This record gives sequence, structure tokens and C-alpha cells, in this order.
Amino acid sequence: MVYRCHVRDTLDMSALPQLMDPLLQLHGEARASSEIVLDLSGVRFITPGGVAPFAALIHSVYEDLPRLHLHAPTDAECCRYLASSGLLQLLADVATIHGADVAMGIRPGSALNTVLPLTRLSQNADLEDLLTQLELKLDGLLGCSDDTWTETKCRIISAVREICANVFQHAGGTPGWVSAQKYRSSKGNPFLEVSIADSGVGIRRSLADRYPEFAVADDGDVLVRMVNERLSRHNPARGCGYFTLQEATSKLDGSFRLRSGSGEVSRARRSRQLVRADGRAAWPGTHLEMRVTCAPD
Amino acid sequence: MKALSRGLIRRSPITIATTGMHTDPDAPDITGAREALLDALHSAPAGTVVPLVLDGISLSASCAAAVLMPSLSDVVGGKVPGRFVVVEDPSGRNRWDGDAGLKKESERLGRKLVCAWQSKELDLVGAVDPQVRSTYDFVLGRWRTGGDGATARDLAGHFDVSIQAASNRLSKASSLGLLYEADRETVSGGGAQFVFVPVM
Repeated sequence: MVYRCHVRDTLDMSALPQLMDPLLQLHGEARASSEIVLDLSGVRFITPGGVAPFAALIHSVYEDLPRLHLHAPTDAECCRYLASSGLLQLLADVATIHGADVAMGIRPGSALNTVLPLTRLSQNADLEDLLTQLELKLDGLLGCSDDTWTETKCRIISAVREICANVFQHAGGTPGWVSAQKYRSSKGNPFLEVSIADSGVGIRRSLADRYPEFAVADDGDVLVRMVNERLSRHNPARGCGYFTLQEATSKLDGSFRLRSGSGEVSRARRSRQLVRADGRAAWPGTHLEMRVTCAPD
Repeated sequence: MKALSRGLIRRSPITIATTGMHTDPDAPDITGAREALLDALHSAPAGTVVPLVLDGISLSASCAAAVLMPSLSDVVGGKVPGRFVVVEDPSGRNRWDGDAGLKKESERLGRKLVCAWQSKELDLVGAVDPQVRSTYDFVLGRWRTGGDGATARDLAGHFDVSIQAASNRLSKASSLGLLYEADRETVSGGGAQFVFVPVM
């Protein structure tokens, strides 16, 4: 059986369901005996929110991958970004790539605005390396001298560090994936988008270790409680991850979107309201997308 | 120990055993520092500042909260009167993690946890409100310019508020572990007033 899935225009976190659902909904023999074509030929824009969760989702089905084909974006710049983000190289290990011969030679991280190419987090040392790399990039973007710790730099690093540390605690041994890119808004204001994803047990099941009622709860309900009440699977004194995320996005005029299982919550710029989106297909793991203004203090 | 300001002495600092990044609040380095800080605070005589030094250390917000929360809770809860915690963070890289961690813990516990934080400049970190900050800054300014403590009368004159209101402000900052009642002066016409110095 051949499944064709495509995304047009923008590959971001919200576009991934139409691309990945067939891959995730097939199981066992049915998946292994299928052929799936991921068609990105119509994509003109790719964000980190489309890169890190993509890698996590592919990793979640790594054991029984079907025959996989990827049609790269026909837009040359977009195809180069796919390579610079590091996702193309990852996919080349598991899929037959079509239409990206030139881009295959591009080194991950080489594009001017790539802050972090797709980076795998398997252990604490990976996180230290990633944060060192992020520090250096932020120094350049913010015009900081080495070892100058401005509020913007600290808030960004603090949120990334806390959320990534959660990956080790909640992902049940599966790796995390991080990607970050700098953009300019239509008004010319610089902002940073960071995406962090894993294919672990997800927030609800992780928290069920401490809150047994979550074992049969709705993913969306649990996400809302986790963000609003700063719940932690360990002890109540922990749970700083989403607090630092909220501090960073509120102080740096940003937003975030969090997806885990079938639940999704988001908070828009300059809003205090947590918005919940229901009816999502159940996915493995947890995916976070954070956007913050990235200008010198 | 060395004298810091009138009536305050500084204990030898508490450090975190391993330099580098810490993200696990239950790791031995973090629990060890938490216990050492707590022990130092409880065993010190009144009028002591216990510094936590973060040279070469990068703490996540969870770790900063894990180290500081028990000690600051005891300070705010009145369990260790006249004993205080300050953080020395030479690079300033932990300042916002400390701020987030203490704010989060303050929310959870329903009591404000605040700490004097020395990096390139001295600042207050945690659930500090503007009135407490301005009170502390005033007392700190007097101490730095003339080596003088501050009384409710001084504060009242500066902010143009009643002596009672100024006294309340000083008491509040003191109960948060930011000011120390270093002395007691008699007032002409009878009565006495406390002289506060900054915890730093």
C-alpha cells in the first residue's frame, strides 16, 4: 500500500499532522509493509517547529519504518534551509530523497540565520554543548561580549535549559531534538523560534507517576493543569520548566505552543490566556515551540 | 568571618562542589549545597550573613530554587532571626534562573522568597515588590554613601510618608531577610527607634 502525504506552503508544527499521521497511525506489519511518500515539493517555508518534531516523530517509528520517500521542496532556498537545519541529513538515513541533490552537500547550521541546527539530546553533556552553542549565537545576535549575561540572553537560555532538562526526566529514555532559527517580523523586529521535541511517553503519562488520576485523563486537561499549576512528576518544589517558559515569553514579548499526546495548548503574544486546542490525533512525545523577541536589552 | 556592616558578620561561603552546569535538583551537588546552607544558617549566631557563591556554576531555575528555598523559607518564617542568605554570582549568569526559581516557589508556598544577589551589581531576586525594592535601595544607598544605617524617620523623610508607614516598610523588608536591625537609638523626647542596615 502506498500512502502519499503532502504539505504545501509552510512546514511548521501545525502542518505535521497531515504529513505524519499515516505514518503514525499504521502499526507493526502494516507499517513495515507500506510505502509512504512525504511530499514537501510545495513547501516554501520551514520553521524549527516543523523540524524538531519531525525528527522526533521519525525516531518514534524507527524500529519498523516503512519504505519512505521524501520529495524535497522545489523552492531552492527552502530546500537549502531543509539541509542547513540538519533535517535533510537525518532523513537521508531513513528515506530515499528526491530532488535535493545540490542541497545534500550543505552543512547543517551553515545558513546565516540558523541559531541551532537540528541537535539530538541524549545525555546531559549534549545539553551542555547545546547551551554553549546557543550562548555563542546569542552573543552574536544580541551584540553581547563574552560572559555578559543580559536579561534577554539569560531568559532564553534559562527556558531552553529547563525544558531540555525535562526531556531527560519525562521522555523515558528517548532522545530529544532541538532546533532554533532567527527571523525578522514584517515590522523588522528580530525574533527567535526554538523548537524542542521528544518521542517519549508524553506529559500526561509522565505525570501519572505522581498523579494516578492522570492515567485515564484527557491529554488537554492535563496540559492545562500542568502549565497553570506548575505540576511536576517529582515533587512540588520542582516544575520550573513551564514557569521559566512563561517568564521568558511574557518578558520577551513572545508566545509558545505545546503539544503532547492528543492535547495542545498555546499562549499568544501579549496574552495571559492559555488557549486549548482539542481533537488532535494522539502523537508520541512532547513538542514545544517558543518564540521570543531577540533584541539587545 | 569578617565584619560586613555594623552588626553584621560574614560567614565563610557555601559553594557547590562541582563547577559547570547543574540541571537536576536532586543531584548530590545540589542537595549537598542545600543542606550546607541550611546548616550554616542554623548554626550561625545572630547578625550573620551566609553567602552562597556560584563562581563557575550554571544553575537551572529548579536547582537554584532547590538550594535556596529551604533556607529562605526559614528566614522568612522567623526560624533563624538575624541570620541571612546572600548569593554571589560573579558572572550574573544565574540571576534570572534564581529569579524564576524563587518566584515559582513563592507562588507555590504562598510566601515571598527574596534574596540579595551580588553579581556585577547588587540586586534583589525573587518575589520582590516595588515598595520593598525601593526601601532596600534607600537603606543600601545610605549605607554605601555614608556608612549610615536608616531609621523609620529617615525613610519617612525621604519618601514623604508617615513614620508608622515607614516603620512598616522597614519591618516588611526586614522580615524578608533583606534588612537587619543592627542597632537601637533613643529618640529625643522619649522612645527608641531601630537602625536598619542592608543585608549584602
